[in-house]
Amino acid sequence: MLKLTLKRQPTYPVEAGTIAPDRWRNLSLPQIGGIALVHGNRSLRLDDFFSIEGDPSDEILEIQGDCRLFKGIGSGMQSGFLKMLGPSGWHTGAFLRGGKIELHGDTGDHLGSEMRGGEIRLFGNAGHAVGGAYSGSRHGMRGGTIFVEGNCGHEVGSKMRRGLIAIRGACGDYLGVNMIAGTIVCLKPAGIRAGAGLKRGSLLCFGGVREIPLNYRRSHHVDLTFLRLLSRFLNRQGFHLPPSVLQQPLARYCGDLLSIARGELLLPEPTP
Amino acid sequence: MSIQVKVNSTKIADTFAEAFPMTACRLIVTAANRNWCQHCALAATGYAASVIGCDTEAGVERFLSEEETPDGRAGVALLFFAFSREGLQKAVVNRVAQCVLTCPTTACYNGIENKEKPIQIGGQLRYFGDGWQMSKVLGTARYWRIPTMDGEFVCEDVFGTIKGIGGGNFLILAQSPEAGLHAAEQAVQAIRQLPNVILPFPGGVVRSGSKVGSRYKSLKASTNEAYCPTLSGIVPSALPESVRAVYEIVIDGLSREDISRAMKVGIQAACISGVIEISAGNYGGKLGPHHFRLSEILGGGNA
Repeated sequence: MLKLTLKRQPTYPVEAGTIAPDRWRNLSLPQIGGIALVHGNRSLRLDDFFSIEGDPSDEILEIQGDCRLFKGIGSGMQSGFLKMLGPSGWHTGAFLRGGKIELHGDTGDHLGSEMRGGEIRLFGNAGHAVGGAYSGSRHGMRGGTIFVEGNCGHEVGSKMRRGLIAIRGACGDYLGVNMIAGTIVCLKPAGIRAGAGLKRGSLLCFGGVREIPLNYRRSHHVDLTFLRLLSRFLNRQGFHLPPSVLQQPLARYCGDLLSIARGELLLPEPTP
Repeated sequence: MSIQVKVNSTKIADTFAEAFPMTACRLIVTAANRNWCQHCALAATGYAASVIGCDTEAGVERFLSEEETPDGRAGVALLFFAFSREGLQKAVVNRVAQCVLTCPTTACYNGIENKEKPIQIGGQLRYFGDGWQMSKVLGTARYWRIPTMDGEFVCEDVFGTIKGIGGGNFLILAQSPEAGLHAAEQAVQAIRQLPNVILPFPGGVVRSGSKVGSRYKSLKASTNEAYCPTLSGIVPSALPESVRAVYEIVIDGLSREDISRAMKVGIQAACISGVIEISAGNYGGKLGPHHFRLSEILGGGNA
């Protein structure tokens, strides 16, 4: 296992997209220390910020410290395990293709944006556009799984194409906006305009939404087999759904009628 | 034919069962309760006794508890065997479409982990959704959700296949039909406790053992007259004088070890009073590469 410990806080945001355990597998510690990080408009070395110890060959990397100014850590990672003990910055795990990222601390915007595979597990709160698309991109997340044990900001899963996002906390506005397919589970309330522009895909808002979108049509309540399958899958992944969540009656809304209306929004049945 | 081994007082013929490689898949079917699992299993594995005349050989492997199924409901594991992957896919797609999709509350999942040589089931059936079907990817598996009149039918996209073995068998030579059938039932009951094997024939027992070919050109198989008691005086018979009935147990399994274990357990259960001899069906070793010598399966000595 390779261990990086933050020894100097950067003054400006640092472009840290080179930090990923699979890319360092065959490098020596001096080579790793010499990896360039762009700090403001200057190029500095990795060991200017971190003390480095351990062995990178097993593709396990642990980073300790407040890294909220380091952008893009683990982006494009294809394999291995990255663990961060402390806050992380924007774009963490963006374009992820494989492996696992575990974050103990809050993270910035664009967590796992446009990722295609692998798993991100966040024990903290996330910023906006979790698993979403970058401006101008056609697709957001295209595969893999994101588990968030805290809350998320706006536009979670925007233009999401495939994969699963499970959020134990609350979400901001525009949850799953322009989502193409995939599944988002949110256990606490979501903000306004959830599912706006949804084509296919499923939004499971067990905590309800601030307002039910007008461009959705309510369908009859049924016991969906997929929900059982999903809850078993989440349990196996260590994301346990409380029994109270599973036992509550759900209403199914079909939409978005302004799009092709093949998606679904599952909400708690309103109490009379 | 020399007799070397005995189980209880039953002679074990010094011969072997000849079996063939087949492509196999396992379906995990779940439903609201065991009753509907049973209805579905009976329908999906019906008319699937022998590839001589059916598109596949199929049977119930075992019923599953709620803890063992992907969606936490009652379930049943079904095994299907065919000579090729293409043939297996065609048969299973048809059977799932007509017998599982149509059965109330059911869902259908892959039961073989290895997906290197998969067959597509849900991916074929999704078109029944007429555009309203939804794809869901959980982990590495893709599922299709097809709207139905009672909710939705969930079916996994692709199912793994494995090189299995079809046609493991043994013959129960009994002094009366009653004794033979009772022994066969005992064997079936014992074999059905084992995983990875099925008994594709009705009740697990065959009374019309066949030989390859016929005097009629259009028939691939015909009655095995050497084992028919009613013909023993007129054709060269394989039956000892005291035998009045023969029943065959045919076993399909996922591996050679599974077949061997099932044959051993079945033979031991069948060797009861009234059973004169246990033999096995083969074609001289010319057709199937898998040979199961009875004496070796039973350990080579008196069991």
